[in-house]
Amino acid sequence: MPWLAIAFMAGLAITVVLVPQALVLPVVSVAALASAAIIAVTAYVSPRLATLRPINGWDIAGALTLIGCAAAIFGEIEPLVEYFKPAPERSPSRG
Amino acid sequence: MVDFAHLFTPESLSAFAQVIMIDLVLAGDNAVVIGLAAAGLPLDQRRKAIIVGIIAATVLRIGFAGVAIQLLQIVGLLFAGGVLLLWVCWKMWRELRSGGHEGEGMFNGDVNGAAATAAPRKTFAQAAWQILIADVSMSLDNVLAVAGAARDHPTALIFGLGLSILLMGVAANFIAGLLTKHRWIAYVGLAIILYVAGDMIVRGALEIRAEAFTG
Repeated sequence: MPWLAIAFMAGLAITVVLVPQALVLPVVSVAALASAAIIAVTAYVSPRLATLRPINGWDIAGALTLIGCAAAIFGEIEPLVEYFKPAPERSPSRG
Repeated sequence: MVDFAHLFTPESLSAFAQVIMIDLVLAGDNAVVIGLAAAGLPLDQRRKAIIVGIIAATVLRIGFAGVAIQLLQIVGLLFAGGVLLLWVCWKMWRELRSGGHEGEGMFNGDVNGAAATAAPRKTFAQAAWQILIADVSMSLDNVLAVAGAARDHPTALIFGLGLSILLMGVAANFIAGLLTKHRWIAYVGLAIILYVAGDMIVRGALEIRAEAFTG
Protein backbone atom coordinates (compact mmCIF):
# COMPACT_ATOMS: atom_id res chain seq x y z
CA MET A 1 0.00 0.00 0.00
CA PRO A 2 2.45 2.70 -1.15
CA TRP A 3 -0.37 5.26 -1.46
CA LEU A 4 -0.89 5.09 2.28
CA ALA A 5 2.79 5.79 2.99
CA ILE A 6 2.72 8.68 0.49
CA ALA A 7 -0.43 10.10 2.12
CA PHE A 8 1.17 9.82 5.56
CA MET A 9 4.39 11.54 4.47
CA ALA A 10 2.41 14.29 2.70
CA GLY A 11 0.33 14.86 5.84
CA LEU A 12 3.49 14.99 7.93
CA ALA A 13 5.11 17.52 5.59
CA ILE A 14 1.99 19.74 5.65
CA THR A 15 1.90 19.57 9.46
CA VAL A 16 5.56 20.56 9.75
CA VAL A 17 5.01 23.54 7.43
CA LEU A 18 1.68 24.82 8.79
CA VAL A 19 1.71 24.06 12.51
CA PRO A 20 3.82 26.02 15.06
CA GLN A 21 7.02 24.09 15.81
CA ALA A 22 6.13 23.35 19.44
CA LEU A 23 2.83 21.76 18.42
CA VAL A 24 4.07 19.58 15.53
CA LEU A 25 4.60 16.40 17.55
CA PRO A 26 1.30 16.66 19.50
CA VAL A 27 -0.59 17.26 16.22
CA VAL A 28 1.20 14.32 14.56
CA SER A 29 0.31 12.21 17.59
CA VAL A 30 -3.40 13.04 17.49
CA ALA A 31 -3.51 12.62 13.69
CA ALA A 32 -1.73 9.24 13.82
CA LEU A 33 -3.98 7.95 16.61
CA ALA A 34 -7.11 9.16 14.79
CA SER A 35 -5.91 7.51 11.55
CA ALA A 36 -5.21 4.29 13.47
CA ALA A 37 -8.76 4.36 14.83
CA ILE A 38 -10.23 4.91 11.34
CA ILE A 39 -8.17 2.09 9.81
CA ALA A 40 -9.03 -0.26 12.70
CA VAL A 41 -12.75 0.40 12.25
CA THR A 42 -12.37 -0.12 8.48
CA ALA A 43 -10.47 -3.39 9.05
CA TYR A 44 -13.17 -4.50 11.49
CA VAL A 45 -15.98 -3.99 8.97
CA SER A 46 -14.00 -5.00 5.86
CA PRO A 47 -12.60 -8.57 5.88
CA ARG A 48 -10.56 -7.75 2.75
CA LEU A 49 -8.46 -5.13 4.56
CA ALA A 50 -8.12 -7.36 7.61
CA THR A 51 -6.74 -10.31 5.63
CA LEU A 52 -4.36 -8.59 3.22
CA ARG A 53 -0.86 -10.10 2.91
CA PRO A 54 1.87 -9.47 3.92
CA ILE A 55 0.63 -6.38 5.78
CA ASN A 56 -3.02 -6.08 6.76
CA GLY A 57 -5.19 -3.33 8.20
CA TRP A 58 -4.49 -4.33 11.81
CA ASP A 59 -0.73 -4.03 11.19
CA ILE A 60 -1.21 -0.52 9.79
CA ALA A 61 -3.41 0.44 12.75
CA GLY A 62 -0.75 -0.91 15.13
CA ALA A 63 2.06 0.94 13.35
CA LEU A 64 0.11 4.22 13.38
CA THR A 65 -0.67 3.71 17.07
CA LEU A 66 3.04 3.22 17.81
CA ILE A 67 3.90 6.34 15.77
CA GLY A 68 1.18 8.30 17.60
CA CYS A 69 2.42 7.17 21.02
CA ALA A 70 6.06 7.89 20.10
CA ALA A 71 5.19 11.38 18.83
CA ALA A 72 3.23 12.00 22.05
CA ILE A 73 6.15 10.85 24.22
CA PHE A 74 8.78 12.88 22.34
CA GLY A 75 6.56 15.99 22.31
CA GLU A 76 6.63 18.49 25.16
CA ILE A 77 3.59 18.93 27.37
CA GLU A 78 4.23 22.54 28.40
CA PRO A 79 3.49 24.17 24.99
CA LEU A 80 0.22 22.24 24.85
CA VAL A 81 -0.86 23.30 28.31
CA GLU A 82 0.10 26.87 27.42
CA TYR A 83 -1.84 26.71 24.15
CA PHE A 84 -5.06 25.55 25.81
CA LYS A 85 -4.95 28.12 28.60
CA PRO A 86 -7.50 30.95 28.30
CA ALA A 87 -5.84 34.00 26.66
CA PRO A 88 -5.30 36.20 29.79
CA GLU A 89 -3.48 33.35 31.56
CA ARG A 90 -0.95 32.77 28.78
CA SER A 91 2.65 33.61 29.43
CA PRO A 92 3.71 36.77 27.48
CA SER A 93 6.98 35.14 26.33
CA ARG A 94 5.09 32.46 24.44
CA GLY A 95 2.61 34.84 22.84
CA MET B 1 -27.25 17.88 41.60
CA VAL B 2 -24.58 18.48 38.97
CA ASP B 3 -24.38 22.04 37.69
CA PHE B 4 -23.93 21.46 33.97
CA ALA B 5 -23.67 25.18 33.21
CA HIS B 6 -20.44 25.17 35.23
CA LEU B 7 -18.96 22.59 32.84
CA PHE B 8 -19.20 24.93 29.87
CA THR B 9 -17.35 27.92 31.28
CA PRO B 10 -14.15 28.90 29.40
CA GLU B 11 -12.07 27.76 32.40
CA SER B 12 -13.71 24.32 32.50
CA LEU B 13 -13.45 23.83 28.73
CA SER B 14 -9.81 24.89 28.88
CA ALA B 15 -9.15 22.40 31.69
CA PHE B 16 -10.91 19.68 29.67
CA ALA B 17 -8.80 20.42 26.58
CA GLN B 18 -5.61 20.42 28.68
CA VAL B 19 -6.48 17.15 30.38
CA ILE B 20 -7.46 15.44 27.11
CA MET B 21 -4.18 16.43 25.45
CA ILE B 22 -2.07 15.62 28.51
CA ASP B 23 -3.74 12.23 28.86
CA LEU B 24 -3.19 11.47 25.18
CA VAL B 25 0.48 12.29 25.67
CA LEU B 26 0.88 10.44 28.95
CA ALA B 27 -1.13 7.30 28.15
CA GLY B 28 1.21 6.71 25.21
CA ASP B 29 4.19 5.47 27.23
CA ASN B 30 1.99 3.12 29.28
CA ALA B 31 0.44 1.77 26.06
CA VAL B 32 3.87 1.10 24.50
CA VAL B 33 5.27 -0.67 27.57
CA ILE B 34 2.10 -2.77 28.07
CA GLY B 35 2.06 -3.69 24.37
CA LEU B 36 5.78 -4.53 24.48
CA ALA B 37 5.46 -6.73 27.56
CA ALA B 38 2.30 -8.46 26.31
CA ALA B 39 3.63 -9.16 22.81
CA GLY B 40 4.73 -12.76 22.37
CA LEU B 41 2.25 -14.13 24.87
CA PRO B 42 -0.52 -16.41 23.62
CA LEU B 43 -3.67 -14.45 22.71
CA ASP B 44 -5.68 -15.27 25.85
CA GLN B 45 -2.75 -14.41 28.13
CA ARG B 46 -1.99 -11.30 26.11
CA ARG B 47 -5.49 -9.97 26.76
CA LYS B 48 -5.16 -10.79 30.46
CA ALA B 49 -1.78 -9.04 30.62
CA ILE B 50 -3.23 -5.91 28.98
CA ILE B 51 -6.16 -5.91 31.41
CA VAL B 52 -3.77 -6.34 34.38
CA GLY B 53 -1.68 -3.44 33.06
CA ILE B 54 -4.67 -1.14 32.63
CA ILE B 55 -6.15 -1.98 36.05
CA ALA B 56 -2.75 -1.47 37.72
CA ALA B 57 -2.20 1.85 35.94
CA THR B 58 -5.69 3.04 36.89
CA VAL B 59 -5.38 2.04 40.57
CA LEU B 60 -1.91 3.56 40.80
CA ARG B 61 -3.01 6.81 39.17
CA ILE B 62 -5.97 7.17 41.52
CA GLY B 63 -3.76 6.30 44.51
CA PHE B 64 -0.97 8.64 43.48
CA ALA B 65 -3.46 11.45 42.68
CA GLY B 66 -4.70 11.23 46.27
CA VAL B 67 -1.21 11.84 47.64
CA ALA B 68 0.18 14.00 44.81
CA ILE B 69 1.10 16.89 47.16
CA GLN B 70 3.06 14.57 49.48
CA LEU B 71 4.75 12.83 46.52
CA LEU B 72 5.91 16.17 45.13
CA GLN B 73 7.87 16.74 48.37
CA ILE B 74 9.88 13.50 48.10
CA VAL B 75 13.19 14.31 46.44
CA GLY B 76 14.62 11.60 44.22
CA LEU B 77 11.34 9.78 43.54
CA LEU B 78 11.49 10.59 39.83
CA PHE B 79 15.10 9.38 39.67
CA ALA B 80 14.17 6.11 41.40
CA GLY B 81 11.24 5.66 39.00
CA GLY B 82 13.56 6.16 36.04
CA VAL B 83 16.05 3.58 37.34
CA LEU B 84 13.19 1.12 37.86
CA LEU B 85 12.02 1.66 34.30
CA LEU B 86 15.59 1.22 33.06
CA TRP B 87 15.65 -2.18 34.76
CA VAL B 88 12.41 -3.13 32.93
CA CYS B 89 14.09 -2.05 29.67
CA TRP B 90 17.07 -4.29 30.45
CA LYS B 91 14.78 -7.29 31.08
CA MET B 92 12.92 -6.64 27.83
CA TRP B 93 16.19 -6.23 25.92
CA ARG B 94 17.42 -9.60 27.20
CA GLU B 95 14.16 -11.26 26.21
CA LEU B 96 14.31 -9.76 22.73
CA ARG B 97 17.93 -10.86 22.31
CA SER B 98 17.30 -14.41 23.51
CA GLY B 99 14.15 -14.57 21.34
CA GLY B 100 16.22 -13.66 18.30
CA HIS B 101 18.56 -16.63 18.88
CA GLU B 102 15.71 -19.07 19.33
CA GLY B 103 14.66 -18.75 15.71
CA GLU B 104 12.38 -16.59 13.64
CA GLY B 105 9.60 -19.13 13.25
CA MET B 106 7.96 -18.46 16.56
CA PHE B 107 7.48 -14.80 15.74
CA ASN B 108 5.85 -15.29 12.40
CA GLY B 109 2.43 -16.17 13.70
CA ASP B 110 -0.70 -14.26 12.86
CA VAL B 111 -1.98 -11.41 14.95
CA ASN B 112 -4.12 -13.81 16.96
CA GLY B 113 -0.97 -15.28 18.43
CA ALA B 114 -1.23 -18.75 16.92
CA ALA B 115 2.54 -19.14 16.70
CA ALA B 116 3.07 -17.61 20.12
CA THR B 117 0.82 -20.36 21.49
CA ALA B 118 3.15 -22.96 19.99
CA ALA B 119 6.31 -21.53 21.56
CA PRO B 120 5.72 -18.85 24.19
CA ARG B 121 8.94 -17.02 25.07
CA LYS B 122 7.85 -15.62 28.37
CA THR B 123 5.31 -16.45 31.01
CA PHE B 124 2.27 -14.43 31.96
CA ALA B 125 3.79 -13.76 35.40
CA GLN B 126 6.96 -12.29 33.85
CA ALA B 127 4.94 -10.00 31.59
CA ALA B 128 2.63 -8.95 34.45
CA TRP B 129 5.61 -8.04 36.69
CA GLN B 130 7.22 -5.97 33.95
CA ILE B 131 3.96 -4.15 33.34
CA LEU B 132 3.37 -3.51 37.06
CA ILE B 133 6.88 -2.12 37.65
CA ALA B 134 6.68 0.09 34.56
CA ASP B 135 3.20 1.27 35.60
CA VAL B 136 4.48 2.30 39.05
CA SER B 137 7.25 4.38 37.46
CA MET B 138 5.19 6.01 34.75
CA SER B 139 1.89 6.55 36.60
CA LEU B 140 3.78 8.58 39.19
CA ASP B 141 5.13 10.92 36.54
CA ASN B 142 1.77 11.11 34.77
CA VAL B 143 -0.34 11.91 37.83
CA LEU B 144 1.83 14.84 38.83
CA ALA B 145 1.36 16.46 35.40
CA VAL B 146 -2.40 15.88 35.20
CA ALA B 147 -3.03 16.89 38.83
CA GLY B 148 -1.27 20.18 38.12
CA ALA B 149 -3.46 20.99 35.10
CA ALA B 150 -6.84 20.03 36.55
CA ARG B 151 -6.62 20.40 40.32
CA ASP B 152 -9.64 22.75 40.38
CA HIS B 153 -11.66 20.69 37.89
CA PRO B 154 -12.32 17.19 39.28
CA THR B 155 -14.77 16.42 36.44
CA ALA B 156 -12.00 17.00 33.92
CA LEU B 157 -9.65 14.85 36.00
CA ILE B 158 -12.12 11.92 36.04
CA PHE B 159 -12.87 12.35 32.32
CA GLY B 160 -9.14 12.36 31.58
CA LEU B 161 -8.61 9.20 33.61
CA GLY B 162 -11.40 7.43 31.72
CA LEU B 163 -9.98 8.57 28.39
CA SER B 164 -6.47 7.39 29.24
CA ILE B 165 -7.79 3.95 30.33
CA LEU B 166 -9.63 3.58 27.02
CA LEU B 167 -6.61 4.76 25.05
CA MET B 168 -4.20 2.48 26.94
CA GLY B 169 -6.40 -0.57 26.37
CA VAL B 170 -6.99 -0.07 22.66
CA ALA B 171 -3.47 1.18 21.86
CA ALA B 172 -1.71 -1.56 23.86
CA ASN B 173 -3.80 -4.20 22.08
CA PHE B 174 -2.91 -2.83 18.61
CA ILE B 175 0.78 -2.49 19.51
CA ALA B 176 0.97 -6.00 21.04
CA GLY B 177 -0.65 -7.44 17.89
CA LEU B 178 1.84 -5.61 15.66
CA LEU B 179 4.87 -6.65 17.73
CA THR B 180 3.78 -10.29 17.84
CA LYS B 181 3.73 -10.41 14.06
CA HIS B 182 6.64 -8.08 13.28
CA ARG B 183 9.01 -8.69 16.18
CA TRP B 184 11.79 -6.38 14.99
CA ILE B 185 9.51 -3.38 15.68
CA ALA B 186 9.80 -4.29 19.39
CA TYR B 187 13.30 -2.75 19.29
CA VAL B 188 11.69 0.56 18.28
CA GLY B 189 9.25 0.26 21.20
CA LEU B 190 12.13 -0.55 23.54
CA ALA B 191 14.04 2.53 22.35
CA ILE B 192 10.98 4.68 23.12
CA ILE B 193 10.72 3.29 26.68
CA LEU B 194 14.48 3.71 27.10
CA TYR B 195 14.04 7.40 26.19
CA VAL B 196 11.27 7.73 28.81
CA ALA B 197 13.51 6.10 31.47
CA GLY B 198 16.47 8.32 30.51
CA ASP B 199 14.30 11.44 30.61
CA MET B 200 13.01 10.55 34.10
CA ILE B 201 16.56 9.85 35.34
CA VAL B 202 17.91 13.16 33.98
CA ARG B 203 15.00 15.20 35.40
CA GLY B 204 15.28 13.32 38.70
CA ALA B 205 19.04 13.91 38.88
CA LEU B 206 18.56 17.64 38.20
CA GLU B 207 15.94 17.76 40.95
CA ILE B 208 18.31 16.06 43.43
CA ARG B 209 21.15 18.38 42.42
CA ALA B 210 18.97 21.47 42.87
CA GLU B 211 17.86 20.23 46.29
CA ALA B 212 21.45 19.49 47.32
CA PHE B 213 22.57 23.02 46.41
CA THR B 214 19.60 24.86 47.94
CA GLY B 215 19.00 22.97 51.09
